[in-house]
Amino acid sequence: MALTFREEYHENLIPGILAEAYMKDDGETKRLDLAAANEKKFEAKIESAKEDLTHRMQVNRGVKSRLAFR
Amino acid sequence: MKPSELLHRVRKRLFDEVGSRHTQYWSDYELLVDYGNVALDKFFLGVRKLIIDSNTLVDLAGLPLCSVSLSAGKSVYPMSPKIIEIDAAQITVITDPVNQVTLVKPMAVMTVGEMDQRYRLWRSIQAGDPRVIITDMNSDSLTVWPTPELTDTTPALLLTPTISLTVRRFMLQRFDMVKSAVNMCRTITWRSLSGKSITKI
Repeated sequence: MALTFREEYHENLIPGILAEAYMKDDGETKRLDLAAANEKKFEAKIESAKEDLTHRMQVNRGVKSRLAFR
Repeated sequence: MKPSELLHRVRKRLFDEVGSRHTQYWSDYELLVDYGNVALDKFFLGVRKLIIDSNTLVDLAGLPLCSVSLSAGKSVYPMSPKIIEIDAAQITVITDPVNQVTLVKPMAVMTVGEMDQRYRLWRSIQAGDPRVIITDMNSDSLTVWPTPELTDTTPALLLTPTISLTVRRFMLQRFDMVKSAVNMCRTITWRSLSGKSITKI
């Protein structure tokens, strides 16, 4: 049985971490433009992973279950 | 990807690697734990999918996540609201109390609608050997069908069966990246009545 959340998705966290890092309230680190750009990339990765996981669950679904989204 | 690899890649993108011309502006803890957990929360909320995790046996409210101990005459059991899907279930029963012989059988997981379609008279069957788990997404409960019964000849304690669940659940609790990386790669472990692992898949 395959895990639903796999290591391959860990990479998706990188833009999310970068977005947070550029929000750090410090003269040397705060870059709101880069934070916004990485946040946008992160949202795109989430959408992509969502589609991939949904497809995977539909293909691999063995038994009926409760709602996957709520 | 191991946490160290993730950290390395993040620092590279931030031009914040060891040995670069400036001092490091972000600590490992900030990047992996603080920001990593925020990113993980956002990811799970956004994706609304889950990891399968039978390592956490109870949720924050103390409800078992992956095992249900049945009682004779009781058919409805609470289910952790963190569980959004049951992938599979199997029941462990003691068939020979004297020699502690156990039998593990798979159970079907169905909704009420599916039960109505498949077993039209299922509501009229009151008690017997549990074969199906009926999930109820509205009340966060599961119904075991038929209702487990108690025989007259064997002590109830020895006959108490346990159901092991393979579930998908929301990751609502913050956790550190090192543990998450380990948990996400771990295989599912079934647990027997005694709590010892009996099967790995």
